[in-house]
Amino acid sequence: MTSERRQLIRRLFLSTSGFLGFSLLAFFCIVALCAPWLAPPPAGRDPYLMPVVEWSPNPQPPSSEYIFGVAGKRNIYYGVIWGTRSAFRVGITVTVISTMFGLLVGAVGGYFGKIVDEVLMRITDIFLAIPFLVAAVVMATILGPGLDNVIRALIFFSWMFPARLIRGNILQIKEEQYITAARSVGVNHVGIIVRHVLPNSIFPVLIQASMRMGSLVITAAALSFLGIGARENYADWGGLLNYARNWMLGGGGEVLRYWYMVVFPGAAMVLFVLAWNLVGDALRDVFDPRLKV
Amino acid sequence: MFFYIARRLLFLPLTLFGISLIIFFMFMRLSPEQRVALYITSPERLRGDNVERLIDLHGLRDPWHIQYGRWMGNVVRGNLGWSNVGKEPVYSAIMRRFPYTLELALYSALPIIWLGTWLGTLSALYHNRPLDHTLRISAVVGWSFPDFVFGFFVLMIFYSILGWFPPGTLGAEADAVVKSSQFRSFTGMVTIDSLLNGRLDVFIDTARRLAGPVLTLTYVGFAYILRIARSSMLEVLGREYIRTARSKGLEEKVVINKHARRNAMIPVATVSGQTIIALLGGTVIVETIFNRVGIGSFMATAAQQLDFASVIGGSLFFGVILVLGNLLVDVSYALIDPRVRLD
Repeated sequence: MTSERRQLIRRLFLSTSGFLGFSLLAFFCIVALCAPWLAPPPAGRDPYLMPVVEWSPNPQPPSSEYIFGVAGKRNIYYGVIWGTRSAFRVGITVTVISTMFGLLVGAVGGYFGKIVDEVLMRITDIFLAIPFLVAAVVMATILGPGLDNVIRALIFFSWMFPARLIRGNILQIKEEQYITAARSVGVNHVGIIVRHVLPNSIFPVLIQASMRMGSLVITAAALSFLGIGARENYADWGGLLNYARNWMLGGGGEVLRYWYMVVFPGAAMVLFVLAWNLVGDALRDVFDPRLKV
Repeated sequence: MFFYIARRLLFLPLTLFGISLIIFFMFMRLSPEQRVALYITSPERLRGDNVERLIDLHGLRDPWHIQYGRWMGNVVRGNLGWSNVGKEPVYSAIMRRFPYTLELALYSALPIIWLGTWLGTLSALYHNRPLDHTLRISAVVGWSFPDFVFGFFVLMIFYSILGWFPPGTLGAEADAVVKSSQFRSFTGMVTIDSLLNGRLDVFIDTARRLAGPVLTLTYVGFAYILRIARSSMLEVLGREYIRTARSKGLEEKVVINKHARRNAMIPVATVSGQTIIALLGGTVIVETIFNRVGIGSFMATAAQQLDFASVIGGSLFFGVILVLGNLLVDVSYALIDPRVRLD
């Protein structure tokens, strides 16, 4: 490892946002990995289905038995712990697949230019024309409930963001002399894209992926919150907030009485998204030379 | 310039065609029985064994290109099907709700743009000092707050504790006034109509109910503008002409306000236009939480009740509005500032 690179990594971890972000992420990873010990599921049941703990549908405030309270007959603490796994699953699956697909579209368009680029970019524009949440709502409604369908809907409408980014970067890099040099010694198209172009434009994509992770998890939770995301009673933060919805609006001025239904799942979600945004912020500060003043 | 505008106009029908195709292929995954609602104009016709006849009548088992043509023909004539949620045709259900959504988006755009620009500039001027760090952290936190979580907090604090901003669109009394025959509707936006009718009480009622959603959208949205304003201002402050201006002895205030800020605001202006339009699509959640009338809450309810015609009509409407709005914004920027060239 060169000393310059080591310095970059040191700066990444020692910056305030980088340190906070990575620590939060590490915390969530531990919670997700240790879920079976932190909130033991009933034997022989699917751990992602929150077990019924109370027969009364009324929410109950935190007690020594249920430290985050009870909502929709379910233990909020259990949902928050196992929901961490759902959040990671949605965020990572959607980000990885949509980034790969976006890389492909953007790289092909940016590298070959002309008509190929024009066609691909117009298709990208069309997908961008429908607001993300609205598109996700339509797709999720049509596909039906379930976390897998949420993941499909989100992938379908989020590959355009990396595609545009990578295309712009490639257009810039394409004119560099080392690309001309590579071409003149006979490296083929795929070789140039994979060996020379992509490695040089990968950091902006990583930064963007980390930032997108947050908004994707929010959108997935929004779908569950609206009641068209994960199946009912699936361990998922948005689903936990869905329990709160009717009590909040139907309760008249009593909203405050049900604070625990919002605060615990909400805090988990905000911290999770914040972690990814902070990491993205730190990555950008370290790797994006345009912002160094 | 001419070429740019002509090109954008040329692509308009193509983009609209593309949007309709995406939506079409999405709902083609539904069964013919589910798709019938997209074609009928009144619910009476859906009774009993009529469904099978309607499927034949509208050719819902035909090849997809014939079905697409037929559906497009309906859409162009304004027939988007029957809305179970609205208990009226989808088109009129949307049109009746649009002013409410537009009103919310417009009122939210003002504080978002103002706050974002102001704080972004401040952040750049105090680069890497405590104020900059504080602002950036609050921006990242705002950015990380899902609108539905923040909306609940607003409800708890401003409704439950303080009693200032009740949810809903209008209170019972104000609603009766608006629905009465003396109340004339000019724009469909209650804040403006109530003032034109001289009903200050209605205005105050609806403004109080708007405050919560506006506050929520502002907090969630200002971070984006702040970020753009900050980095653009930082970039401009590093330019040579700023150094020149300083070295010829200009006052720091003049350098910042006249030389730096004006140039730095170009990217901000570009995204501001897009922000207003994006807000229209972002109202789904906020309208639902605050129990407001609007296209967003309409779509959310329709999605929960599997009212496919309304969901698809709503998305088509949002798509068209967004495309037209973005075109308007881009073309006007191209006219105002010759340096703006958007792809």
